[in-house]
Amino acid sequence: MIFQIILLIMLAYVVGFIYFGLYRNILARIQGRYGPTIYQSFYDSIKLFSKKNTVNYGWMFYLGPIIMATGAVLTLILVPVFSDSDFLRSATSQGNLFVLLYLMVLGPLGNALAVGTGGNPFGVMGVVRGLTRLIGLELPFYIAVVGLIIAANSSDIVHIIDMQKTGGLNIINHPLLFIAAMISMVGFFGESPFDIPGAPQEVYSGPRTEFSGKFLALLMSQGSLFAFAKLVLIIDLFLGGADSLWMLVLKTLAIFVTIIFIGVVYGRYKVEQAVDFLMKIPTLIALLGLARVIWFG
Amino acid sequence: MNSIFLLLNILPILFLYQFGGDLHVSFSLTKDFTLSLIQTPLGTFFAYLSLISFLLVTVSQKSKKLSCNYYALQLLLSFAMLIIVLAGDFITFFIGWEIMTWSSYFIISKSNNIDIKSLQKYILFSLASAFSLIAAIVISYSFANSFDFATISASFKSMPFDIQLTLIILFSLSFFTKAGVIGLHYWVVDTYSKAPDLFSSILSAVMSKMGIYGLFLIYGNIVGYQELKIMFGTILNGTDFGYTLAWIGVATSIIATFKAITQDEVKRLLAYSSIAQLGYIIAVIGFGTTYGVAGALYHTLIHTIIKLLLFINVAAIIAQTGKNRFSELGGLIYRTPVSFVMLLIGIIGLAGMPPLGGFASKFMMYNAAINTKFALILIGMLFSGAASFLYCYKLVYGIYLGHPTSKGLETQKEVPLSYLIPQIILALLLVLTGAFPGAFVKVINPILTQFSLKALPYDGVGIMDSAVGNFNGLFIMSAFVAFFVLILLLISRIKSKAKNNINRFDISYCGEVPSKDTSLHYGFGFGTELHRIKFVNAILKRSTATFYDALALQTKRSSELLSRMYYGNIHNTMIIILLFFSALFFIGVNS
Repeated sequence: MIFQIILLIMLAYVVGFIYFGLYRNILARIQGRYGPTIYQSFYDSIKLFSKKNTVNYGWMFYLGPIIMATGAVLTLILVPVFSDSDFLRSATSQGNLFVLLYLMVLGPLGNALAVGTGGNPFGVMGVVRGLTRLIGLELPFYIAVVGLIIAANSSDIVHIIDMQKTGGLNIINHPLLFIAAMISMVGFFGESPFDIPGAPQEVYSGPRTEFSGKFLALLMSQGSLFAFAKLVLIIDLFLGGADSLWMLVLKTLAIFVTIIFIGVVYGRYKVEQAVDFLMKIPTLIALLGLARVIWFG
Repeated sequence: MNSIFLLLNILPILFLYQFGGDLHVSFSLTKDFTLSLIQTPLGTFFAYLSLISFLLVTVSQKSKKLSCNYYALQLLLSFAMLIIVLAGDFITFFIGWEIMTWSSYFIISKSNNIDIKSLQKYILFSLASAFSLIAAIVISYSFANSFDFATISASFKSMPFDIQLTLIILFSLSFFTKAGVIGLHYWVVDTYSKAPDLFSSILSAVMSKMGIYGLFLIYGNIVGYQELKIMFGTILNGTDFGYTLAWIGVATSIIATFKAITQDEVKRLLAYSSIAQLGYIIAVIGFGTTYGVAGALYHTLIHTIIKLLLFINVAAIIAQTGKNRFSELGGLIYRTPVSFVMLLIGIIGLAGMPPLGGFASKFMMYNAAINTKFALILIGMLFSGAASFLYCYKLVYGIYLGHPTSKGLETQKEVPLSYLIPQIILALLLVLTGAFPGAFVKVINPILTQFSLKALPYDGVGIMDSAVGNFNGLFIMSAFVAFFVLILLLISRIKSKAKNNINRFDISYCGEVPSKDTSLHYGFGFGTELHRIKFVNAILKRSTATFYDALALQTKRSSELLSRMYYGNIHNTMIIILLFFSALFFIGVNS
């Protein structure tokens, strides 16, 4: 079990960083630049681990990024990676979808505590923007997830994957729910138009303003683990999971690239605009999908 | 003084532990009226909950120099609640209810910052609750010829439907007022925020739960969940009745959550949060399914623990600093570190995040909603939970993080030990309920049997099991601790020189150096951006105060009108009153 967990973390770490490098490349090409090498984020993180911190704001500032990393690792090990084999799935039976939904906010809470301790008002503004955005962001996502849970009559992710083997993929059965969840996912990945918390030119880099050295490196590493976990969760819920490593890469990449493409096209919303938008169109789409689940199964 | 009353608070717990089980005492007043105390599993649960809460609050009252009659009133209140939860008939119940109302009224009136308007609000709403209760009791007596719970329950089925409905509405209104359902919550916020600081914890954690006990008593015992199903029919996989009640609960929860975020006074935020959390309980209490009842009971327990913890914590800070607003506090984390950690545990529980007990109770309630296929209710609960992260963060940030905003905060000392001991016990309870969510199943199951519902499956002390998903609290807790320690060790191995921040103004601030006059504490700003969101603003700009103020104004006007009828001659007025009542009497006799 411990071996599998370590392997899973390593896999997520590598894939997450490569995806992030890919993201920087795609962004650069769209903007007419060459961009860094695909491993640049990896180098950055290793370099940052050896850099000194600018300042230290006491023990809560120290523990915050660690809580965030713990939240990301915990989320990761509870998501079933492969649909057919029990490989890398050692801990998934201990949790369910609700545990994941709430674990996904535990990490950011740890970070928010460290940011608050740092005392930088821009960092806290970023956190508050993020939490306010969450009100809007979670709504379509929750409706989509609840729709799937009601359809499967279970909050167990493995059960939802198994349902799709016989009953067809959820993306085909519940397309409206998928669209709503994807719109939320754009926000969860911090992409435009919902990149409000860490908005550059507005609040420095938001919650990350005061972090440097190994803490920034830790935040980057957990970010890649967390991104991988979120991608795998989406393909588990809607695309029937992945039966091999290649399918895993293919499916997660497809989702990731879609999210990036949406992100690069749009400008940034203000926080109230984002919540207003999310409470209207995506929520409506999700509710239609939910109505379909409840009345037509 | 404190230690005597501490002992007096322990005694009923020991008594209940020693002689409890199937306590059945009755005492006949006249031939027809018998006062009786009957111990049920439900009553026992609420009895222990309130007694232990009182004990913990009394411990924390040690550093306050309180008078003897304050303690006596508090003891009386505890006694009244014990009567309520052990009552076997409505007369005993009502006596307990009344003692509870006025003893708490006197305690609240002893507060330093109470004003006459808030007191009037409290007593008026308590009276309204009591009148609604007594009306329901009298109506049920006229049909059952008895005040006994068992007799009324037996004869309830033979009552006409409109009487049944009236009874349910009257009882519900009475208990909704105590629990603070939105619309009837007008008294809650003022009372909680202006009551003595430590007594607010009793109000929120225990007294509001008497409303929940009453609802359980009516829906589960008197009417019976099976009878509710027959009376109102079904929708999706649940009952119409449960669905209606669930919407009331969810609306309460969402509205109160948004209201909580915009509060500047610490205790007002907690009061709104209390309303919101009770909204969850009311949302699932009417389902009439195993998971619904179990979720409501579990959340009752968790909410009691959390609100005791938070209110004691805040009371300690207010006592220590003399400040009770977010805009006056801040930056206390390294001054009062233990308090900070306790509050942190409290808000993680309040937000319902996994390693702690808050998650287990929410999970149970969500399961109940899945089980009945009430999807919108489930989304409403999840949504209100997501919004509650904002006020949870505001609570911890406004008090402990950021920058100090008033003089004296930078030299503050840790709060006295008497405040910390109950907090540490409660925080441990939260950790334990998080790691061993299955342990509570054994407490719930007898209550489920009492309501003739199916028992919960028990799969071990760490596992919370249900038909639609399960989780292992012990695994998640130990994995969390393990990964946390592991990452901490790894990170601390990386030696990197860091300048210890000596000056708190040493932050990146647009290339400038902030001075002492720069306002850096963001505590004021929280929640203002919510006004710019249309949907949220629609909630925030409305208030029940407008309705009740208008009602008060109309009552005043009509009484002025009435007083004009009195024109100085008492005889004529008396004759008019006599004629009016005789007319009423004849109408009553003829119909």
